[in-house]
Amino acid sequence: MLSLKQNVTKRLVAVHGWSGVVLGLLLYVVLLTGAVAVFDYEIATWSTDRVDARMALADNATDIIETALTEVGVSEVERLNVSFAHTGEAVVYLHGLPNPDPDESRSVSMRVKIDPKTGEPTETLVGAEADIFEHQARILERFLVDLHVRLHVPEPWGLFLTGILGLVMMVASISGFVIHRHLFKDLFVPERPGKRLVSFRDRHALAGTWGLPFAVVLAFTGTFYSFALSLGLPVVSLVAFGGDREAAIEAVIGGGAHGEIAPAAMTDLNALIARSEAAAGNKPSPGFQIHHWGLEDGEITVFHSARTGGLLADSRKYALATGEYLGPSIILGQQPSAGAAAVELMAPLHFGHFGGFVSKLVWVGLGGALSFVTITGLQLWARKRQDEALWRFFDRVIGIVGYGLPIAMVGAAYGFFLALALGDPEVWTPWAFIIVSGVCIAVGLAVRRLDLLSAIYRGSLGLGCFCLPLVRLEVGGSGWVEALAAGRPMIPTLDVFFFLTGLGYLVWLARETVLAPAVRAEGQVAEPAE
Amino acid sequence: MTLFFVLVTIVPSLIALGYLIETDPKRRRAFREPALGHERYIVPPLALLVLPGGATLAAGTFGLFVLWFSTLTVVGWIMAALSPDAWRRIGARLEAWTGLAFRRVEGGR
Repeated sequence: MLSLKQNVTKRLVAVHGWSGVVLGLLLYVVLLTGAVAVFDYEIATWSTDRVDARMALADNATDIIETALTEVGVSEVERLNVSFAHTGEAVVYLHGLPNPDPDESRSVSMRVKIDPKTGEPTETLVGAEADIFEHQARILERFLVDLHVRLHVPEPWGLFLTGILGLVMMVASISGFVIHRHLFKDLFVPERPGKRLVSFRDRHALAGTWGLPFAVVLAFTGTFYSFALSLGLPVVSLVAFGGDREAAIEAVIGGGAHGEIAPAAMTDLNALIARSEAAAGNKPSPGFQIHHWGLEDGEITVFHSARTGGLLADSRKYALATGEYLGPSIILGQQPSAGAAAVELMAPLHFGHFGGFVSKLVWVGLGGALSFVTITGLQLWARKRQDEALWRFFDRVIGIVGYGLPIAMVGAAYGFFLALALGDPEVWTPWAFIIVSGVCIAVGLAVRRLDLLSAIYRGSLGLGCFCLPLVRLEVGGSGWVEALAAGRPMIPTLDVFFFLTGLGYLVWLARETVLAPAVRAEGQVAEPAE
Repeated sequence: MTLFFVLVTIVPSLIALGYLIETDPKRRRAFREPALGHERYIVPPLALLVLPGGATLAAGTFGLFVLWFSTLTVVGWIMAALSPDAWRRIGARLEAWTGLAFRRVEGGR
């Protein structure tokens, strides 16, 4: 793109290539799992064995809070969150409660689940704040999201690693932009036939060029998310708050006033949420957060997704004692700022959830395209060095990881569903992933012919995807009619997606291995006669 | 509603993009397609390509702009990645299914 001296271009090509080669396979894992994790909420709903229609918050918020407070036995709460489980139950998280152990000074958190049909509590759990967010129904989703976020490496090292991978992706994107001399001329040139080196170059350059703007955006936002909590917050708390992490969090995201605050009657919560929903374009709220319930400085943030055509969430803040509107919710600090706006912008640009299903679908496409760029870049690098045994082996490894990862993810889903019926999904979901990965690696090393290996992988992936919805239904997953009645069209949608993806792979495989050779053979016989 | 707005903005851009891809000289050379028999229009298709995105920005719907741009990059990549032969096959299938004639931009010697 830019006119550079030959030696500078050479160095940049080396930076571009080696940055990819060293960490490219891990980057591919993060990108592909990221593309899948875009549908994290939908995967959680799909993998849940039971779904009920949710309660409308605008009709039931007061009852939900009162039921939870009665269950816990308090009238004032420091912090309280209400959301919905994927099964349809309302879930109330209460934080900053007095510890039942008189010798322990640290406050505890509680989770109360409320049945949407009866309005009665179905489960109460006491524990540390981080521990009560566990959901059996979210095991598969959490496994995939954790693979994307920290590659299942313990904290904080996993976040450091994915943060570094984000930086590598940025370096590769920017250096790729600089070294590509014919960026606009090659914008419409697809892979030239013949599986030559230039074909690999075309494939990589085309996908990389089209994906470039969002590669930079996703790399930047991903790096921010990895480093903000693992590095940024500890550094800020060390420098500005003498190492007091809780004080830093309180200053950054707000924690309300301290000291003696008078109790006060709370406003009609149902009416307040109805008012907020009307102001946010009549969109039902998915949940809310309260600070200082039962006290005169109590505040509620009612969550709303972005309006049609909007990018940022439209969440709104109200005073609980008076019902007065206090303004839009601020994600960072107590006042609107450029930093808060920048951080707020990161979420829609990274997660792609601002436009509902449509934008999520596009973000899956972006993740898929960038995974493709990574794999084709690695293939290009290895194919250029085919005369060396090490790079030939690396080429095989690229194939093993390229196909092995999606197969292992499908394997993890099988492990989850089978364990729902037979064992513990928490244990068997990761084990299924590891076992299937091991089998893929063993097959990849054992089968010498690359075309046969590719056929085995494609067949396994196709069959795995095709049968997955059947297994889900067999182990007691919600049926299509039941799911549609509960307002969860995503369950049949994902089933159909897996059916079609599996079918697509199997048809592709059949055409290449059974039909194409037959046609070629016919052609060979016919040719001399012509 | 989002889907409707995305379709309204992306379809004109993709039509323009389709023309630019089909008439791209380097692409035609690489696949031994005959050179265009007429002058290649640049400004009108480019205007049609970017105008919907500009309109979303002018309307202050930044979410729609990001959605338009991201859809354009993903679908644009897929459109460009398909070879002229692949497009010919898709056109033939569409013709067979719908009975409509899908003409490609003609080349000339």
